[in-house]
Amino acid sequence: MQRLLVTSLVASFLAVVLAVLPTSATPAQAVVAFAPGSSLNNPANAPILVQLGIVSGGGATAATGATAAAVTTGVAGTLGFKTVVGTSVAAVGLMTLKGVEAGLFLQTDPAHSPDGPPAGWLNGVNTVTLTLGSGTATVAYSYDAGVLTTSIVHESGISSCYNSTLEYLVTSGARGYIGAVYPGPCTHPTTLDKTSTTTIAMPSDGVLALWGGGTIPNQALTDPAAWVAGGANRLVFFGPDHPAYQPGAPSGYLGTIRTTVTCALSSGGTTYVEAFAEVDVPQGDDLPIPPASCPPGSIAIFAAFDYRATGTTEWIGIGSSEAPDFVNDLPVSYPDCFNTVRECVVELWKVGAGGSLTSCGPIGQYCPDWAREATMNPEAYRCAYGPYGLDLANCSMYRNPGVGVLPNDSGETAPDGKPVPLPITAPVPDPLPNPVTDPLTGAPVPLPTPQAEAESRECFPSGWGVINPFSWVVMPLQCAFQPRTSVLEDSLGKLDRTWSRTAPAKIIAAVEAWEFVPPVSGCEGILVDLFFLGPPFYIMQACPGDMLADLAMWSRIFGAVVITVYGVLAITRHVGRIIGYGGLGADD
Amino acid sequence: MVTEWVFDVFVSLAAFVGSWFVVEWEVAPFFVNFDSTINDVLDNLSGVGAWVDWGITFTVVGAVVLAWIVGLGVKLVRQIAAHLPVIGGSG
Repeated sequence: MQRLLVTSLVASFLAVVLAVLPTSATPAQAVVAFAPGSSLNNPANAPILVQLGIVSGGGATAATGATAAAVTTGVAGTLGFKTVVGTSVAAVGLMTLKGVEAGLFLQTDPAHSPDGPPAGWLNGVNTVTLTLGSGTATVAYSYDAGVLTTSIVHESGISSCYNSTLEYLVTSGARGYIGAVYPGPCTHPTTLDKTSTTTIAMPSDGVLALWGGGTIPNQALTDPAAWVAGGANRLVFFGPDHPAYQPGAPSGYLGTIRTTVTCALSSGGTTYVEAFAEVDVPQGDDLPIPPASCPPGSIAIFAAFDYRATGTTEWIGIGSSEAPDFVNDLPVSYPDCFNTVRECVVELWKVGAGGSLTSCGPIGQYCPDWAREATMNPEAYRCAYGPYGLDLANCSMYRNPGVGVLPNDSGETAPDGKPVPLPITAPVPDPLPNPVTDPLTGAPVPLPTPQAEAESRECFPSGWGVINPFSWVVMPLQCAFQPRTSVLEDSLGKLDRTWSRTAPAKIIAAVEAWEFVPPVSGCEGILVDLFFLGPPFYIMQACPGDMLADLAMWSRIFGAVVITVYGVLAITRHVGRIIGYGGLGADD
Repeated sequence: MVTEWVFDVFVSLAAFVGSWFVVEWEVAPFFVNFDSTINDVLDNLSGVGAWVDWGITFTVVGAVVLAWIVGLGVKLVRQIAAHLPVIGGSG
């Protein structure tokens, strides 16, 4: 019995060690995740999801695994604080969608113009820029035997007509207005109906240009071969007789894709990282977007993607995404989440007697009535982002405890520009999404393995086990001495929350961040700056060919001998004193 | 339960000790950027690398410091042991 007890104690101790070690060694997650693949023609209108506003930790460069579907014509940014469940950044309440610019590559698709003239490209440029904002737009085209059939649903659009000598830039378009004027030799209708299909005669030497007024969000191109342009740019189509007609749109994409991410630092400055991927894909196929991550202690605030064809030097913008201003302030507002390798997440805590804090779990499962209780007594719960307290509304994504996190963006913006989260009493969606999905991408939000189930233990035998007397001893002992991971994590979390805010922890973090660069062997000497007295100059220059080079060499040899002799004497002295020996060269 | 209780006692004790320290305190910028200061000095030393072998110099200095720390540590242990009757000390 005594041996069994000792064995159990040893096993318990090992269990504690094993339970603690993985927690402390958990690698930090990455910052920004870009999808490994992205399509240029955006047939599914899927957005590139750029996670902005997530704290970097540990220098990881791998993608978080988060979500991102992939295309270029819609770039959406999610930002805000991170939750325990990892990828549900969009559900945290400080989510903001932001209109961005995205490029749309165009292609000539014979399937859409089987009998018409071949398409050409103005000055060889086959990309345009879309300025995305709010509203919706759908543009679909087909081309048939010299007649362009166009169907436009567009909140803001202008249509115009070119000929070879005169360009008509109709400026009557405005948001909410769909209109088109076709003066000159073109014989087009003066108005494009907003919702119906319009057939336009297409002279062989003419060109039809369509562009939006800069408010085309989440562009829904139902046809990969559609022509559309936004802002000051325009997409033009030329017949073969037009002087600007240039046949031969690129048949594919052979070149380099570049991802550039700008990162805000806790010092208030910025840095950037780049990633490159060589591509060789046929037109209309997916393009790989190289992942890039901000370094530890920084946060992604801007991301851009460019394409450069092989043999050229020009980078062509594909798309970009920018975080709102408040994200830039996160490293300054929450420095402890940035100047260490810790990774802060939004957590809900129950305040106990004496101010003790108990975690409500990754999905609030340990606080089933927290929203009701917090309504009556807001002091009973605390919402925190790492060591920082947040308004309790920021934890309203846990308002359906035990099920998952929910969107809690009210859609409103505070005077300081920050998104306003939902109140904690906001209704839970009915029916509840199952599985809980990221409100931006629709991707299922991965939930942690329910710990209660994983750690459910029977402390007494059941079934056939009741006839085994050994079970009546071992199982209660296991329950008594084998700790539950959740309990240990909660305890460690409490300890971390207490200590991470103290001066010793901050000093240790600062020391850990130190990085020394040993001097290299140079020969340029020491720079002497006389400021206003004269130009700066070097002394002790001893590069090969300099007058002092030989002297420097002998100095180097002599110095090495002297320092080595000194080292031998000093080391023997320090070590020898342990046993009463004075060391080499000592009197005793 | 027993192990959890022991662990919780330890954590509570550590948290209690942690509560003694100042919370609203930030590390001075010069301390945070101390490595930059040192690196500036080391960078200046690089220019005279033709005169001084910095590799040997830093190796020897590091070894001397290590030997001093080892000697100090051994002496410290011996001093403490001298006060422990259980291992022959005089109390």
